[in-house]
Amino acid sequence: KKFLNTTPTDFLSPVNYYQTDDQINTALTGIYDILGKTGTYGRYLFFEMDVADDAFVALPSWTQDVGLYNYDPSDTKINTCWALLYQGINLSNLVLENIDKSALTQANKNVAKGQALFLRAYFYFILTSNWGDVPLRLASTKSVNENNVPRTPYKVVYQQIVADMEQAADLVNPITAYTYNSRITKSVVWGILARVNLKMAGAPLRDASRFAEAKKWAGKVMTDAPHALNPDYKQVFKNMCQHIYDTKESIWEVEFSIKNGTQDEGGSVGVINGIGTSNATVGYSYGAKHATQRYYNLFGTNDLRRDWSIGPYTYTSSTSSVLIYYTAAQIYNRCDAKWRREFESSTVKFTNTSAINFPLLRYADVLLMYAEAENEVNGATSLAYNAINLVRERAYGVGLGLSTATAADLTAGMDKDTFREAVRKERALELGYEGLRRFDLIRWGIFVSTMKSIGNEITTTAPSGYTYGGVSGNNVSNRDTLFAIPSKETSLNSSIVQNKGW
Amino acid sequence: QNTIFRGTVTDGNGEPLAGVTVKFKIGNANATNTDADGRFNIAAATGKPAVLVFSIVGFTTKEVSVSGSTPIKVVMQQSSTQMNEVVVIGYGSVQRKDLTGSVSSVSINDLQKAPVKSFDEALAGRVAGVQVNSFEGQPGSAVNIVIRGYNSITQNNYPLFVIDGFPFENPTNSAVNPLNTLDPNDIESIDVLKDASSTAIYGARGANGVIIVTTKRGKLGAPVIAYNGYYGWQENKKRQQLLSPYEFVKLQYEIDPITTNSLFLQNGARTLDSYKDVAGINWEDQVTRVAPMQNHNLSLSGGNDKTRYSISLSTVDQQGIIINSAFKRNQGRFTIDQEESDKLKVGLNATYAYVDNYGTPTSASSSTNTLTLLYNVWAYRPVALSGSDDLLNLPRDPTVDPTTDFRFNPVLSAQNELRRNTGTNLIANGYAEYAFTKELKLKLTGGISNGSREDDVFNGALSRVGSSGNYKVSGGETYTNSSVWQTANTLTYIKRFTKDHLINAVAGFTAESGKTNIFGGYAVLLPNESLGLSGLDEGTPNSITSITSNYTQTSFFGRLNYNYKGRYLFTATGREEGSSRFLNSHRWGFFPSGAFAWKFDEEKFARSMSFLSTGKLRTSYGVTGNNQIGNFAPYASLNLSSTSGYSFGNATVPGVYASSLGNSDLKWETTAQTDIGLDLGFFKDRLLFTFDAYRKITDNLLLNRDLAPSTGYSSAYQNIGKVQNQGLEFTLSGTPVKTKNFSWDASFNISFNRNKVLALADNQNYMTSSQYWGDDWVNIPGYVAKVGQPIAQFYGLIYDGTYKYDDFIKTGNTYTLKSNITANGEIRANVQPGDAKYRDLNGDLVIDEKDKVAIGHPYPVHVGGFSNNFTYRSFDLGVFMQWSYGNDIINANRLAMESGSIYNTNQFASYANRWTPNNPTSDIPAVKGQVLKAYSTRIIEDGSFLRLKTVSLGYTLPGKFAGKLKLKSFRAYITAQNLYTWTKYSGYDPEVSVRNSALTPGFDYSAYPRARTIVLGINTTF
Repeated sequence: KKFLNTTPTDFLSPVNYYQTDDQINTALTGIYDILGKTGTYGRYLFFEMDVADDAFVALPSWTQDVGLYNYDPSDTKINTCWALLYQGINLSNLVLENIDKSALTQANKNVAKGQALFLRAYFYFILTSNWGDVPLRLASTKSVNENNVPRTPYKVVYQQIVADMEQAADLVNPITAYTYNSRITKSVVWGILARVNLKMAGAPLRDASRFAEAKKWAGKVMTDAPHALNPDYKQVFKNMCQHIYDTKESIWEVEFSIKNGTQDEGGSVGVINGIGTSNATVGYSYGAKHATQRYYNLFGTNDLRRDWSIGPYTYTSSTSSVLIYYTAAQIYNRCDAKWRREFESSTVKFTNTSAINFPLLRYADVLLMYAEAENEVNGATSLAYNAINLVRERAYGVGLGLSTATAADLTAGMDKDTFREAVRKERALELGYEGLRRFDLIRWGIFVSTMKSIGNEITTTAPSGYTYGGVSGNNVSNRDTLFAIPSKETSLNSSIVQNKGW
Repeated sequence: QNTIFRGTVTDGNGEPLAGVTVKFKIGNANATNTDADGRFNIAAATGKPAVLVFSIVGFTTKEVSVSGSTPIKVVMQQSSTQMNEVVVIGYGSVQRKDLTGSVSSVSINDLQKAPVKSFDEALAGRVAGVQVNSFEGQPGSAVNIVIRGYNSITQNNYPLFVIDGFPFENPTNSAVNPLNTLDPNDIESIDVLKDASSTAIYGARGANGVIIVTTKRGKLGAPVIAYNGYYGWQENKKRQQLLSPYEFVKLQYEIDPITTNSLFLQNGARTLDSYKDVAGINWEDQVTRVAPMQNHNLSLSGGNDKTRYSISLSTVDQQGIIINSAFKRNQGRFTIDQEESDKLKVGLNATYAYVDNYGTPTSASSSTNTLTLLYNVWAYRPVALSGSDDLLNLPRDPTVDPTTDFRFNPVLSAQNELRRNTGTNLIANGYAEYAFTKELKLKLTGGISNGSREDDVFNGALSRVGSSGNYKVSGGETYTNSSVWQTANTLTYIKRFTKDHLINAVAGFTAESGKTNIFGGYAVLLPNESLGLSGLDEGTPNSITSITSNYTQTSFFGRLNYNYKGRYLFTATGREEGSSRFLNSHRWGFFPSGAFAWKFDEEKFARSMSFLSTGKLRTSYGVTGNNQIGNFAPYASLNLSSTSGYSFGNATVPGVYASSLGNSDLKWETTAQTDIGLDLGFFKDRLLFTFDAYRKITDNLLLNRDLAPSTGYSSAYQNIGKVQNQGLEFTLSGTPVKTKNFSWDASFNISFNRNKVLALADNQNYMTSSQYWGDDWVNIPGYVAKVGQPIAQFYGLIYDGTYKYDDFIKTGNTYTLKSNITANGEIRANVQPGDAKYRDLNGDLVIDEKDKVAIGHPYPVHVGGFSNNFTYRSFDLGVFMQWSYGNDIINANRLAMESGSIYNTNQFASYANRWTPNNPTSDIPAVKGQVLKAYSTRIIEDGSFLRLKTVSLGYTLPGKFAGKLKLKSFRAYITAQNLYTWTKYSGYDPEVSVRNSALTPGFDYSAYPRARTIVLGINTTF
C-alpha cells in the first residue's frame, strides 16, 4: 500500500508554507507582482483602460477595443485585468489566513499583515471603481464549489476597503524605513485613503461626509511624514526612468525590474506610450497615445509641465538622437511623453518592454486632494490655496528661479465653485497620463459629457489624418462609466449579473 | 453383411471434435455426425475397404481409407480462416471463434503497404469503431486515435497502447512517442479491444479502448535475411489560390487610396492596369518543395525448436514538404525466445530508437495569428514596388508597420529558426513462463521504457525573434528524461473437466512506476550566431526550466472463461486498481465486466443452413476507468516562476503564485459500456460479417473545469459531468473471386458513433470553449457543449450575407441603417452597405451573445474504409480507400484571408468577388466590412471526404527466377499514398484538426499541408 504514496516534488504546498520570514516575504512579493503585469500597471490601467479627454489611442488600425469603448464583455483586456486583481486578492487572503500561524515576530507579522490588507483593499478599490458592484471574497478559495459568488453592493465594498486600509495604516512601516518607494508604507496608505474617500464623496456613492475624511488623510501625509515636491517637475519622471527613488515626492511606484539585462518584470511605460520611434538607441516606442489639442491648450504658456507631458519633438529613426521638433500646428502628432526612453537607465533597451517605473501616488496628488477636500468642506481657504499653489509654483519653475511665486499662484479670492474648477483643471495639468484622468472624470460625474464633446471636437476639428482619434469619445454612452463584467466571470459564475447596458 | 466403421475424431490438440460430418467418398449415401466425444460409427453396405470423408467448418476436409473393424483415430487440422486466427487479448490470447468481446484485428499486410513512418499514420479506416485523424501533414506530428467516441471532455481520449505487453498510457505525451520508434515492418499484429469485456482486464485505463501491438519474433526454420526498402517523393499539389498582383493592388486601393497612390502607383508613375502584367511572387512555391522519403529495413530471423531469434535494423528519413522540416529515425531491435526445458520458457525483446524531428509547427503561435508560417506565406505582399525592392531577401516588408503587424518573410523564418527535438528510447521486456502442470502456468513479465528527448530552439539573426523583439539571437535546450518500469505476473489455469466444460482462468498482479525529469536552459542576446547552440554560454541567461514528476500504479485482476459444449461462452473479469494520482479513499477502484457468447452455428437448426459456416451472438457489459490527470492534480500548490517576482529598490525578489487550487476529492472517471455483437460467416467463411452495437456512459468525468476568475484561479479538476457514446459498427470481408490466376480479397468497414453530453458542471446546460489562435479569439468561444447534444459543436452567428443598399436610408452620401434592420454588432451608425450581416435570432435589433447558436458539427456521421487486394499471376494490386462523412470544419484561415481590413495583406483569390459598389450583390463582406470578431456559418465548411489513400502495385518474381538470383523471394512495387481526395473543403486538406481536443475538434488555421507520396520499393528475402 505504501507503493502508492508518492510525494509531490515540483511545487510547494500552501499547507506547510507561510512559516518563515523568507516565505512570508516571498508570499507578499507574489501579491506585489500583480501590480506589474501587463493587465494592470504594466499597461492596461494607464493605457487602454484610462482613455479620456487628454489623449487618444493613436492606432488607426484598431477598430474594436476597450480603449475605443467599442468592445464586448469578452474583451481580453478587461478579462485579464479582472482575473489578475482577483488573483492578487486570493494571494492576499492566503497570507492573511496564515500569517498568525507563522514563526515571525509580532512586529514582522504586523508589517506583513498590513501590506497584505492594504493590497487586497487596493485591488478591490480598482475593481469597484471600474466595475461597480463586485464579488467580495475575504477568504481564500478552498474548493471548486466556491465558484458562484454574487456581487456585493459597491457601498459595502467601499466600507470594507476603508476598514482594511485604516487597519493597515497602523501596521505598516513609515516611509522612512525604506530608501525606495515600491513598498506599502504609512504614507501610501494615508494618501490612498484620501483618494478612496474622495471617490466615495463623488459618483456613484456621493457621500459628502467623506470629504472631511479625505482631508484628514491627505493632511496626515503632509504633516506626519517628510514629504516635499521635487523642485523640478521633469526630474520626477526622469527619476522613474532611471530607478532613482525620490521618496519625498514619489510616495508609491510600481517597480519594473532591471535584472542582468533581461527583464522578468517588464512594463510598457514609455513603450506603448512615450515618444513613438523605432530608434533602438533611444528605445523603441509605439507612441500609441497622442495628446489632444484640448489638453495641449489647457496649459498656461509658461507651464513647464506642458512640453514635458506632451512631447514637442520626435527622433530620427537612425541611431543618433537628433531631435526633430514639431511645428506649432502639429499638436495631434505629439505623444504622451512623460516617460521618455532616452533617459531609461537599463543597459539593454528592449523593444516591447521597458524598466521604467510607474507612479501610483505622488505628493503633488496629495496636495491637490487636500485642496479639493478642504474646498468642499470649508471653501477656498488659505489651506486650500497653499496646497494648490505649492503645485503651481513648482510647475512654473519657481524653485528653479524661472518664475516668481506671484506669477505662478492661483488667482486669489475664488469662491467654492470657481476653486473647484481650478483644482479639477490643476489635476488634469499635474497628473495627466498617470492613470487617473478617467477615474477623476467619473467621480466628478462629468465623464460621459466630456467624452462626447472631445469626440466631436476631434472628429470635426482635427487634421484629416487624426479625425479617427474621436472614435473613443464618439462611442461613449452612459454605460461606459463602468466596464462590462468580463464574460469569463458571467459565463462561469452563475450568481453574477451583468452591468447595465451590456 | 454390413460392416461398421467406428472411431474418434479430434483436433490438433487432442480435443474431441463434435459434429463432424462423416460420409463415404463414393458409392454409399450413408452419413453421420460425430457425437460430443468425437465418436462416430457408420455402416457400410459391403465389407469392402472404403474411403471416408470427414468434414466440419473450420477444418480442412480429410479423407481416410478404412478397411477393418479396428476403431480409427482421425486428427483434423484447422483450416486457416479468419475465425481460427489467434487474437491477442489482455494477458493472453484466444482464437477468434472463442472471443466473447469485441476485438478487431488490423490486417498487417495491408497496413504495411502504406509508406508511412509509423503505423498510426496508416490506421485510419482499417478498423470499425476506431477513428484516426492526423491533425495536419507535418512529418512527426501526432495522430489522434479515438475508439468509439470521446468519453472525456477535457482529458485525454487516447486509447491505452500495449506494445509487447508494455502499457503506454499516453504515447503522444511521452518523452519519445513509442509509436514513432516502431518501424511498421517490424509489427506482427495489431488488435483493438473495444468493448468493456475485453478492455476491463486493463481496468483503470481501459475506458478509451486498448490497442495491442505485437512485434515480430523469430520463427522456426532456417535463418532468413530480409530487406524491405523504398524511396519516394512527397509533394502537395494543392495550392491556396491568392489574389493576383492586379487584384491585390486593386484591393489596397480600396482600403487606402492615399497610401496606395504613393506606394503602388508611385504618384501616377504606374497605373492599376500596369499590375496586370506583373507576375508577382508565389510565396507558397518558395517555402514548399518536392521532398524525398525513404525507409530501409534489414532483418535476420530464424530458430530451432529450442531457440528462436530475430534482429532488425531500420532507418527512415521523411523530409517535409515545407523547407527545413523532417522526421528521421534509426532503430534496432532484437528478440530471443529460449525453451529452457519442457516447463520453463524465457524470452527477451528490446528496441532502441533514435528519433530526430525538426521544423517549426506551422499551426502553432504564441499569441497573434499573424505569427504562423502559412499566414505569412499567404498574406505577404506578392509584388515588388520597384526594381530595388528585394522582398524575397528582406526580413520584413518595409511598407508594413512593425508596431502593429508582425508579418515576417516566411522563407527566412523557415530557414533561420530551429525547432528540433531529438530523442532516444529504449524499451526492453523480458518474460519467464513456467508450467507447473499441463494446466497451470505461471508467467512473469517485466519491462522498462527509458526515453530521453532534447528540445532545441534557436532563433538566428534573420528569424522573426532574432531580427526584432527583445531577445535577438537566442536559443535554448531542454532535456526530458522519463523512465517507467512495470511488471505483470499471471497465473493461468486451463482445464477441461468433462467433455462439456472448459475453463480458462487467469489471475494476476501488476505494478508500475514512472518518473519524469525535465531540465533546460535558455539564453538570449547571443553574440556569436555561428556557434549555434554551442554559443548559449556566451549569451545572457534567461530562464531555467526544472520539473520533476512521478507516479505509481498497481492492480490485481482476474478473468474466468467458461466454455460449455463449445457453444456457450462466458467471460467474467475484474480488476482492482490503485493509482497514486488519487488520495485517501479514492485511491482504489474496482472495474468488473461480464460477457456471454452463443455460437449458434453449432446448434442443430443452423447445421441445416449449409451456407452458414459461423454464427455467433455476443453480449457484454462492464465498467472501466480513466485516471488521465496530472500526477499531482489533487494537491493545492504554490509555485515560483521567473515572472512571479517583483523588485524592491532595484533588487529582484522571488514571489509565489497560487498555481493550483487542488481537489483532494478527485476519483476515477468511469465508463460503463454495453455491447451486442454478431459474427456471421458464410460459404466456409469465405464471406465474413461482423456487427456491433454499443452504448457507453461515462460518469464522474475528470473535468478540468473553468473557474470564475474571481476565485483567483482559472481552472481546477473536478469529477463532474456525464457523457454518452453510442454507435454501430459493420465489417464485411471476403474473397469474391478466387481462381487459379486471379483473386480478389476485399474488406469493408463502416462505423457510426453518436456522442451526447448528459450532464455538465453545476447544473450548467452548456459550456463553451475557445481556441487560442490569436489576439482576442481566446475570449470568443467557437465551440459549445450542450446537454443532450455532442460534446463539441461549432458555435457562433448565422451569416446572412452582406448589407445591401435597400437596408439603408441615403442622405447625401451617407447611408444610415433603417431602424428596423439589425446592426451587426458594431456601433449602429458605423454599419455600411457591404458589411457582414448576421441573423438576429431574438429580434432585439442588436447582434450579441444571445444570437449565437450551434452552427456546425465537427464529428462525422460515419467513417470507414474499403480495402481491396487483387492478384493476377505474379502481380498484386492493393487499393485502399478511406472516408469521413458528415463532419464540418471551421476554416479559420478565411477569417484572416477573406476579410480585407489590413493594409498590404494579400487575400485568398475568392476575395476578388467581394462586395463593392460595382458588385453590390456579393455576399462576401466589403473592405473593412467585418469588424466584429465572430465565428459564423460563413466559414463553416463541409469536411466530408473520400480518400484514395493507398494504392500499391507489386510484381513478385516467380520462384525459379528468384532462385537463380540466389533470392528466396523478390517483390518490386510502386505505391502511392494520399493519391486523390474527393472533398468540397476549400482548404488544403479536410483531414485537419489543429489545436485539437475533444472540445475543439475540426479547426483549421495554418495547418501543415498533407503530402501525396509516391514510392518505389522492394521486398526481398535471402
